[in-house]
Parts: sequence; C-alpha cells; structure tokens
Amino acid sequence: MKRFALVGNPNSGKTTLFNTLTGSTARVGNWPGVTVDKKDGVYKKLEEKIIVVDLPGIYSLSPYTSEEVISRNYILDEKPDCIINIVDATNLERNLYLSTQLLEIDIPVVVALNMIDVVNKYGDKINAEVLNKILKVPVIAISALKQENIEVLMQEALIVSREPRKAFTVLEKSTITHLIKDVATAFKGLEVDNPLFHAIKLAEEDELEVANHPKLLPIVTEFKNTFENEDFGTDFEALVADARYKYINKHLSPALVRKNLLNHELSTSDKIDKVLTHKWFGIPLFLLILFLMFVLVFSEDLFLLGAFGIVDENFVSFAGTPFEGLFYNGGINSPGVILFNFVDSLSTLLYNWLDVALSGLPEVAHGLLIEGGLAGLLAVLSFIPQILTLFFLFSFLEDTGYMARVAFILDRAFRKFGVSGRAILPMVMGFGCSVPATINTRTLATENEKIKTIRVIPFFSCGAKLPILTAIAGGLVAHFGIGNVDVITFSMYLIGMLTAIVAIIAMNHTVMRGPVPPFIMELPTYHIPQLKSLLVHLWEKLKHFVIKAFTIILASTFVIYFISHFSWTFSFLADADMGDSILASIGKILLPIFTPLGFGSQLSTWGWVFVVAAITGLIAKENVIATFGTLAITIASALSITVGDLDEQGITAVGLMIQATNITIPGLIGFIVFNMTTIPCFAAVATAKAELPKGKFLTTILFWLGTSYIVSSLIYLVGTYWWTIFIFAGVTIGIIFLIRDINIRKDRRKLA
Amino acid sequence: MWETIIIVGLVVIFVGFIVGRAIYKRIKKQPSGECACCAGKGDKLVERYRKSNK
Amino acid sequence: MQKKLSEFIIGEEGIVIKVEGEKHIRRRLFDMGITPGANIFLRKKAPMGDPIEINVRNYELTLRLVEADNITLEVGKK
Repeated sequence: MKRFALVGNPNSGKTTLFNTLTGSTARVGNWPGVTVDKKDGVYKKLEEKIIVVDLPGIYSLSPYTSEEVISRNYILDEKPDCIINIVDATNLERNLYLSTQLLEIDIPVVVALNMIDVVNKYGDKINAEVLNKILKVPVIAISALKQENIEVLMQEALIVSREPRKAFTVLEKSTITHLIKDVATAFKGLEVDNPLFHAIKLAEEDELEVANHPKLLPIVTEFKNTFENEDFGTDFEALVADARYKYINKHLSPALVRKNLLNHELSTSDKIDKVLTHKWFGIPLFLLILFLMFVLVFSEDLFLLGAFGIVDENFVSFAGTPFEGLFYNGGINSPGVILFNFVDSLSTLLYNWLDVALSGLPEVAHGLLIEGGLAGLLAVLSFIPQILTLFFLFSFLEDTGYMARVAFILDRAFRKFGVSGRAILPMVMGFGCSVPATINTRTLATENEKIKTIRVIPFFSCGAKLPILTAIAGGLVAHFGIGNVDVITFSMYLIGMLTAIVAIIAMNHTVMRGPVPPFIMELPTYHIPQLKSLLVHLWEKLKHFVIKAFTIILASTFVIYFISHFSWTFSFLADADMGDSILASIGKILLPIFTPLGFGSQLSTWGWVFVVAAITGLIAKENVIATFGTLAITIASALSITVGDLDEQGITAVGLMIQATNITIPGLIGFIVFNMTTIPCFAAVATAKAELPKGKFLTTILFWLGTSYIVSSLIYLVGTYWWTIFIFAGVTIGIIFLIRDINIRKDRRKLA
Repeated sequence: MWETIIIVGLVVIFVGFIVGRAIYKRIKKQPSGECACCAGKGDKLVERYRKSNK
Repeated sequence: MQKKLSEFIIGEEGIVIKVEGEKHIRRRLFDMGITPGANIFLRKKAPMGDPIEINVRNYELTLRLVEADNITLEVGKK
C-alpha cells in the first residue's frame, strides 16, 4: 500500500483534511499544534488503498521542537510515496516557506491549496497554474472543510507518486549556490539519500546535520572564509531564510491578486479581538467566561433567580412531577444539572427495580451484583452529563481560537511563575482530562517548562474528579447545612489552581531554576467551530468513559466488594462485620498516616473507608465515589440507618459516610483536596511517564504525594485549630528565606 | 446455592478477563486503548532519532 | 530611522533590517517570517504591555518584548 504524508503549517487544516480523507475522528482544534503525534488512516476512494499519515504541524524543517523532529524524521527515514503539502491559501507567504524546504527532498510532492473558499469569499484570486510553475509540482486548490476537490487532489497525488521526483531548490540563483552544489556532490559521493536537502541544512549549520556529518563541515567552513555578503556576512542561516522568502515574494505577485490589499483593515476577527483582548477588559472577560461555564454546568440556580430572591421555593413546585429536576428552591437548574438529575432519576429507578427483582438471590450473589457492581457503576455513570457538558464547552472555546488569545493576554502574568502563556492550554485542558493535557505539553518550548506544567496539570481538577467534588459538597450542605454547593465546588477548583501556582513558584526557586521559555506564537483567525467535529469529539469521549465504566471501574467495584465482604480466611462477612474484612484491615494499617489530613485515626469505626476510597482512586478517580457507593449502603444497613431515597446516590453515600464516621468539615475538605492534588489516575500517570524526560518520573510521583499531603494537612489543621495558621506562616517564611539564601549562594558559586 | 456459584463464577471470569487483557497487552506491547500508549511511542521515536545523531 | 521592535508603539510600521539573538530564538523568528526585508506592523499590546501582537507577512504573530528586542527595523521610509 502506498503511503501519503500530510505536511503543513500548524492550523493549516491538515487534520480537517485527514478526517475528510480517512473518515477518522482525529482531534481538530483552532490552536497551533493540536496534532502532536503522527496518526494514520486509510483512504479508500482510489483504485488502490492509500495510507494517509497526518504529521504534526510545523513551520520549518529545523530541528528545534519535537514536532519538527518527528516530521523531518518521518519524511527522511520512512520515505512516504508522496508528500501532500497543505498550504493555507489565506496565508501563502509563510506557508510556502515550508514548501520550499520540502521541495529539496527527492520525494514526490503535491501542494494542496487549502481554504480556497475563504480566499474567494474575500474577493482575492490565486492562480494555481502560476504557483505550479514556480514550485514545479502540481498545485490543487481545495477546501478541506467543504470537501471540495479532494478527490482531484488524491488522484493527482497518486499520479505523481508513481514517478520519482528530482529535488529542486529555490536557492538556485542565490549567492551560495556554489557551496550547496559542492556539498551536495560530496553527499552524493557518500551515497546519502536526499543530497540536496542535507547539503542545504549543512550549509545552514543545522544542529542535527552538523552532528551527523562532521566530516563535510570543513567544506562549509572553507567556503565561508572566502565569502562575504554585505547584508548577512557569513550568516548562512539568515541568508537562506531570506532567500526563500525573497523567492516566494518575487514569484507570488503574479499568482496572487489581493483585492483588499490594505492589510491593516479590520477584519471580523480583529473586531472580536478588540473586545476579547482589550487592555482592561481582556482578563476580567476571561474570568467571566470561565465562571459562566461553571455556572452552565454546575449551577442549580442558572439565572441566579434564587440568589437574588426573585423567586423562592414557594414560587412553584414540581416535586413529584416529571419536571422535578428542572427546578431547585425556586431557581432554574443549569443544563448540566438538569441532565444530571435526569440521568440520576433513571439510574435510581433502575437500581430500585433490579434490587427488588433480584431480591430472591442468596446474599453473596445479590450483594455482589447490586451493592457491589450496580451501585458503584451508577454512581459513576450519573456524572456523565456534567462531565460531557464541561468537556463540550472547553472544546468549543479551544476550537474558536480564543484559547490562543488567552495565552496572549495572560503570558505576562504566567511569566512571573516561570512558564509562558502557552502553558495555559494544557492547564485548562486539564479541567477536562489530564491525559490529552499532558500530551499537549509537547508544544511547550523548553524541557523545564514541560516538566513544571505536567506536574501541575492534575491540580486542574479533571472531569472524573468532579463527582468527588459535587458529591462531597452535596453531602456537606445536606448534612451540616452550611453554604452552597456551587460555592464549595467553585472554591475547590480555586484551591486546585492556587496549589498549582504555589507549586510552580516553589519549583522555579528550587529544582527548576532557569530562564523563562520563549513565547513566539501564531494567533489564528477566529472561526465558528464545526458542530460536527465537536459532536464527534464528544461522542468519542462518551464512548471512552462508558467503556471505562463497564470495564476497569466495574471490575474494581467487584474487587472492592469482594475484599470488603470477605475476611482473610475467605469467609463471607455480613454487612455489620465489614470491619473485619481484608479491605478494612488494609485501610486500618494505613489509617494513622492520614491523621494530619483529617481522615485518619480520629475517625470512628468506619474511618478506613475514606482511606480505601482514596487508594482506589489511584486506578481511576471515578472509583472514589464508586467505592463510597458500594460501601455506604452496606454501612447504612450495618448501623441500621435508613437510607432515604437513593436520589443523587453519591451525595447520599457521602451523607451516610459522614454519619458513620463523624468526620468534620475540615476533614472532608482535606479529603477532597487530597484526592484532587495527589497522584492522578492510572492513565494520567502512564502518560506523564511517557512525556517526562528520563529520571523525572519518580520525583514527579513524590512531588504529587508530597504536595497533596502538605496541602490537605494545612487545610485540615488550620480549619480545625485556627491558631496553627501562625505556625504554618512562620515555617513558610522560614523556608522562603532559606531557599533565597541557598539560591544566592548558588549564584555566587556560579559566578565565581 | 447454584445461583451463587454461577454469579460469582461469572464475576470472577469478568474480572479475570479485564485484568488478564491488561496484562496480555502489556506483555505483547499492544496499545492499551489509553492515549498514553501512543504518546510513549512518539517519544521513543524522537529519542531514537536524537541518539542516532549523536 | 532605525528602531527596535520592542520600542514600537501601537500602529507603527517598519521594515526589518537585522535579527539578532540566541541561535534557537533567531531561527524561530526566521521561520515565522521575520527576515530582513519583511514588513512588520505592531497591531496591539497585551493588557500589561507585553507580549505584543504584530502583523507580519499577512498573519498575526505574538511575541514578547524580550524577543522583540532582537529585531531592528527601519521606520518612516515609505
């Protein structure tokens, strides 16, 4: 089978084309660098099947970022049968810069002039035939989004892939042609593939090339000694880059007719930008958008009608009717909560029905299926609507191109913490899921920035941690009658973010000292996200979540039920004797460790459940509430507490746990914070291991454990004994001075 | 009694299947269905490339 | 008159003469189209005056003042 590689600038529509070609559901975003790994799929509409490889978006074939290395490596080593070079027609100059480099490789190339529909809409004209003459390869105008001309493109690619292509360089008439020819001849003598490409890279003194062929370097050095260019001296890197752009500019004018040549004229994108990145309103607007998103997902009082006293519980009551889930104490629920209530009512019905239907079974079997599997499973599944709504909103923001602007307006503030504004995307993605967020850190410029970002990503509480937040916040409100669920949930998110900031600052001054990474980034034009791509993405997420619920999570709930109802001698224990189970004994051993965090030895009999829940959370965070769901019901019957309606299971379970253990409010908050900031789920840990440089993985695990332990103890202790705040403040100031002192000494030693 | 044996047996088979599949995939180095797996591959690629150029 | 990009005010425009700086950063600037002869227009500054948003070769690019400090331009020649 032939292999065609898609190569192009970030954000040039490569992934959209890839999706169109392969019908795949790969991720598309309006942020430079969303594709950070290569993906492949199959195109079936030609006479033979074609493997299409989507490479990460790159601006150049220089070796400075891992995306560039992946693409360059793939093209040179794996030698695809054809390169389909996607060029954003609305931004020809810079896109063709990469094309001029691709043409220097002996592989057939077809240029796909993408977004031609947008160009035509603005009244501009691009002459593909003229471009064809300049580049000496076929140029096909397409629209990946509207699926125009795609088949023509692929047909052309198949035709050119049958004949070898001779490399061609736009530097033919430049002042260093002579040098390039000499080096290329030398490469040919060495029987190296793609001599022209390597010759030019060596002339530029490209790091990888110099390391690879040190023997040929003297040719370049010798040439340099006899060469002096009035503009560039012997700076060949600048000279080559300049020659490429000059060539493009010179030949582009006959090919491109711009109607609105006044390029400073405000486009729609600029107008939107004027507001969203405004000097004063930019940052407050971002915070407002974040807040609105959380209200849309979590609020039980969408328009704040109840909060302002416009309506109250006497206004209208739908209790007992099918509309019950729409309203809460007079306020209208947000879409997230309405969906949650809906799914929750359904799962309660299912639970009660199955509970009765299977009541004839012996105790072990009944317990295993209903209290073990089903209760845990439903506790997890009922949070799907809220997780998906949140995920949808974040994807929407990302696809519009707004997140790149957020990086722009927040860079200054982020720099103080030693990361660039670019790090905001992986961090915000972390609210959805840590795994893609961690993978996305590849777009960051330096290793230090990457490590710092990966370490704090789990503190941006992911979708799977949401059930812990809402269930415990709900339990707090229901049981202690304090505060408001929205406020507690939102402030937990804030605590997570605050922890991230403090942790980054701490790392900057201790283990991760170094210069601030650069920030040079393209700002893509705004566009309305494609609903189709958003929904496809959402569907993928849903599938992933459901599959996970029915495999890993279901299996863990069975295992938990088993080890919580059997003793070490493998005899079945009734609910009341669960304290003698395998699980309980493990939990009890570990219990004292968690005493400073508020859920250790100070709790009564059932205290070990919190410890066990936190441990199961290391497999998947959904397990925390699932464990409560599994254990709380049995505990309730053991303590002969009547379980009210099983509505909002997670919350009921937490309520039962509070009653059974006498845990305090600071203890509960400590528990949430511990789960939020400790080692993330299994999948996220594995991703972090893959992305972190060697030797940084173990320290990262220790970092997560340490941070969560310190932060939750702090919250519990200060919450319980307020005066301890002075001790903590004193210790913190002491540590700050100590670090400062060490750093000053280190710097002095460096200077000496 | 036989209901218990059947149900417990089924649950044990299910759990065994999930755990076994995970172990099998790990030994055979197959994608585990988690993004982490593919991410690791790309990284190794870069590493190999850097090494070959040293 | 010669001026550094970091000294530009909003709406100012110039032609690149020289790009300096550390190897990686300079290469990155070249790759993004900031080469001698390129026309740069300072579109906007972020809320705290840094980073800046420029229009170069018909697209929008953002960079920090530290990086912009490497770029020298000729201004006022129309």
